[in-house]
Amino acid sequence: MTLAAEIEIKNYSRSLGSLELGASGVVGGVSVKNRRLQQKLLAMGIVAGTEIEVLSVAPFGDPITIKARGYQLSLRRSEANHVEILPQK
Amino acid sequence: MAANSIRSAANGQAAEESKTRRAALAGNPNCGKTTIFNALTGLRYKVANYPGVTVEKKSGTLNINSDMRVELTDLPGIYSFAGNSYDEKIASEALLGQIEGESKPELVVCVIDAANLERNLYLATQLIDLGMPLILALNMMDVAEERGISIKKEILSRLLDVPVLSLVGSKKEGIEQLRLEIGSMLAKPSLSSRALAWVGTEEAPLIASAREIGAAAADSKVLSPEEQTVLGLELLSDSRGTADSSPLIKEIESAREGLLASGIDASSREATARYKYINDIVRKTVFVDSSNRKFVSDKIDAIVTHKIWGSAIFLLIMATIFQVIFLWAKAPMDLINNSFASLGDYIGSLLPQGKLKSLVVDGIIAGVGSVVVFIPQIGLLFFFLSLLEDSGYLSRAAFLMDRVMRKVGLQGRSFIPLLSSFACAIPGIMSTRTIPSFADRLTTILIAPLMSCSARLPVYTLLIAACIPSSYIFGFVSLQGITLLSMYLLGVAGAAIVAWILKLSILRGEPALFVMEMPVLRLPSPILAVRESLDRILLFLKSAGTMILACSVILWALAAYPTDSVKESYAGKIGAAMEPAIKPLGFNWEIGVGILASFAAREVFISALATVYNLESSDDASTSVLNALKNRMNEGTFGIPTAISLMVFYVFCCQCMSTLAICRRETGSWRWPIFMFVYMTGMAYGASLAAYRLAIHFGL
Repeated sequence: MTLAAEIEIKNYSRSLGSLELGASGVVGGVSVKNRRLQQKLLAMGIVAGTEIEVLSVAPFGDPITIKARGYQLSLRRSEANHVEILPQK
Repeated sequence: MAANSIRSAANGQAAEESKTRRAALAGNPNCGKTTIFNALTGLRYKVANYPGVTVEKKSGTLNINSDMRVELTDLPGIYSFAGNSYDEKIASEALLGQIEGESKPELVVCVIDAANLERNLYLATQLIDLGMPLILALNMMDVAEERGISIKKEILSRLLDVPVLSLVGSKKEGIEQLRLEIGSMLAKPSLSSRALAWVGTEEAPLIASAREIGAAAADSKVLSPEEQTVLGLELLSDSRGTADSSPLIKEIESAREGLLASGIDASSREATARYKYINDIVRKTVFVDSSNRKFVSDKIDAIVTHKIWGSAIFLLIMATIFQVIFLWAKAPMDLINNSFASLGDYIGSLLPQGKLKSLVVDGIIAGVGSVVVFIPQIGLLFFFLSLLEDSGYLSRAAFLMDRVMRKVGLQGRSFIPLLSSFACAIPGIMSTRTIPSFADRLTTILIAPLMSCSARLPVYTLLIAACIPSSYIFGFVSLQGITLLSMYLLGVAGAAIVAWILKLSILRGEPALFVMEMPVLRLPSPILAVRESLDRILLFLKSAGTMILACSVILWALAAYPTDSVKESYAGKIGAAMEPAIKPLGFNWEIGVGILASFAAREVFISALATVYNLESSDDASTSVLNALKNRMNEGTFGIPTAISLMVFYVFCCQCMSTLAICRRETGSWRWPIFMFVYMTGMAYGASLAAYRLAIHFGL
């Protein structure tokens, strides 16, 4: 992470990690703060514009399962915090 | 590297002359690739490791016709051509023909989960960009149809300009057509004209940069211009694989800055544009019957991932499998033990008394027996694990257990391998392959033998029966039961501490990603499960079998030379030499010999003790040893502190050559099994010492 312009660690007003069970939204982008996580999520279809819905929450509230692009993906809340959810219109 | 590539290209030509062609199966994890691979190759495949790494390589032969045979490789399941996991690296190197001794595949069959076309097309379009002949195999069409998904494969084929076939791998539907298509594609290869079709005018600068970077990065590697572009795109989005100081990094960084100035974020633009392109294709080819059906599998899924019901079902499934492995494996294991004992007796009766007879009976036959005896547990465990994985439940289990495992720095995927290790660490260690992060996988392997396995149980029960009073605390809690439970808990606690320390010290690093696909729940295939467990058994016999046999012959020799009398033998002398070291633990030379011999397998401790105590050979070693121990208790030569110390020693020690052999195979070097042996022995010594001192302190 040497490229200064890339360090745009946004303080997302709403991240996927803060969504409750059953909530849905549209992805605004994935933070570059964790490059490995970003690349993984992008490859799995979590890109700007992807519609997501929180399907289930594990015991103790973490990890969560989301539905995106017609399949289910599970991730930890700490990972989901890197995914920005656009404010609803 | 260049020389190798040229050599492998020459190999490829030689292979072509002998009419053996090369093709590879690629695809996302959970797309049913293995089922298709098995159906195409039948029983003619073998499992090996890629050179130097612990990623498994499956290859088999596919006969097209009398003139053409195809060597088919099943690549590791990957979501993207780029990426830094072991599986992704190996798969991309294999596709580019950069693995030593292996030529580049002439054709790639990309297997696609039809119910999940959108995400699966990500890899498929990357493969088209690479400019290699490609066939798309839409698998699990039955599941897709069940979910009301219909795919216009003619349109898909036209849009992507590649042949598209539909299959149901589990029912062998479409396999024959795929075989024929592979044949005709190899006979007359054609390339898709849709390489880089996702690139719009806005992405033109990205591609221009990618070409430059790719050409610079290709260096001495033999890469086509298409491959260089793909490599360039990969480096622009993520260059962590490259050393930080190289001039290439500087070039990549300045390219990224330039792109950013023209409004392109190099880290995400390719993925975003590619998915946009895929969205367009999916809109034109996939039609979903939107009659509001709730699918059975979704309902089941809602229950099995539910906070409360999910946990209850999880506990029930785990307890059942665990019980079944213990109970079902016991009968065949006893049968194997008895058969080898009778075989030894029979062959022994044919041979003259002497060293040869002793070598054959106590060395070789007993050694082979100690290898074969693992088969029931490995077979059963992998049968059930395969059912769990195939059904999609394995990822639900990892999902449910992640929070708990995270407490010690591990993750949900480590849970089942560790649970399996309570039956036997060998299948437990072998099943860590489902953990993608190497650090997490290695930690799991290293702590797996701390789970008290079924071979320790006879040692615990013997010592408890001999030395722990059969009294009750508070009138209903059995002291013996509590002692046994404590040993299991002690192992778990030790494992948690070791995992925590490992993740803070030598295996420290970026925390592993958890992100995991949850495949649709479906009925698993028992045939696949049988095949999987046979594969694992063969792998165990091949890789660990010879070593275990050699060890058992060495152990035999130590006991048989220079004389048969235990005290005079090398084993006895080593035991005597060890005595000063083990005296602080409350052990004498006899126990030392028992511990030494139990390196073959922990339960051997009992029969070794029977030999050392010079007991009349009776049918049941454990009854006679039990009586001998009770006598020694009465004489005061064996006390409760020694018994407790010995049990604690067995909780932590690594007296199991098979565990070390399989650890070597799964980690690919001797470094980790040696580390495992040293740390476990050290831990056993320290814990025993503490237990012995405490027991004496409390006047036991």
